[in-house]
Amino acid sequence: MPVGPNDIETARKLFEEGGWGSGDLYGPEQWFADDAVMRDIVNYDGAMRGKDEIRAFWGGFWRNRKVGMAVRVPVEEIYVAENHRGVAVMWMAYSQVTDERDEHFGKWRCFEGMSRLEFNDAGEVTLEVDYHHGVQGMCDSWVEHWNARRAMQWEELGAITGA
Amino acid sequence: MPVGPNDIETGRKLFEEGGWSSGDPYGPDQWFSDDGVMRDIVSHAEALNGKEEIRQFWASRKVGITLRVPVEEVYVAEGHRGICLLWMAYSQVMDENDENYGKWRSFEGMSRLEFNDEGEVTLEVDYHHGGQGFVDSWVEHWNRRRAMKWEDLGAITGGPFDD
Repeated sequence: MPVGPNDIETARKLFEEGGWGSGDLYGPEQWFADDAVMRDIVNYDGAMRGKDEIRAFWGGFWRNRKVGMAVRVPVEEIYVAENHRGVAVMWMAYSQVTDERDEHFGKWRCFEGMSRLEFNDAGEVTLEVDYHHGVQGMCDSWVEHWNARRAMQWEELGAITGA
Repeated sequence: MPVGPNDIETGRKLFEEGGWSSGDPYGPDQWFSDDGVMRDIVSHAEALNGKEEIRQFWASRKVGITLRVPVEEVYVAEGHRGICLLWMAYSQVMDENDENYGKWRSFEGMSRLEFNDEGEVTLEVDYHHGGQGFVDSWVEHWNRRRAMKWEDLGAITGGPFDD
């Protein structure tokens, strides 16, 4: 089955409203299949299998880094697979520094990346793999940074990093 | 103008035959526009501007001589003339003093390409996290990946197989 508009909508929601950017650790799993697999090539060397394992890993990850779920992952573009039901999502990620002892307390780590998603026949996400290289810089306001990117021409945007 | 079959063919060639995998630092030039921009978020996060700068940087790192970048999947943009490529990369260790001399660093990643009206590549951005391990033979590693089911492939890293 080819990718449909609902899959693209699911992808946006998984990263933005209700999902990774929601502030709710349980948010993303409403779009995952029960046996979904997730990998993040920077933060987890292997595969998380199933909703519980995915939630447990990210819950522990954010607790340890004291960033809570102060994460925003707005989507810049979505690409559709040619041969199967999958999409590639290009995004910016922002995670706030919530440790008061950190010199960057209150600022947002920012970085660019891409993810691939696969869907099953029910439209649930069966695979998410995140491709990035970690933090590229800090910004005072993720909204201001994001709006500045949105105001740029597409060609110019491609030439700059996520810093 | 939407993405056409020739753009997808160009994307594959840029990474495989004649391009980054060719052993010829001038190879990729044939598909870039004169003012093409390239970024690699690990090796050169800032923009390389123009064919000359792109070639000089990668030739200085001996990339193009010992690199193979076979493509696993192509994704197409809906709103503009651009594609994404999912790939494996293999770069051979050429330093005789390195304990991994002769082996291949292997890693997975994605790239986005933009095209102009002439079908030339105006932008390449590579998303990855560098080497994930070493393999003795890139051909053997690649063939094993090709023999796997798509679902199983998504769950493993670009590093060596466990066995």
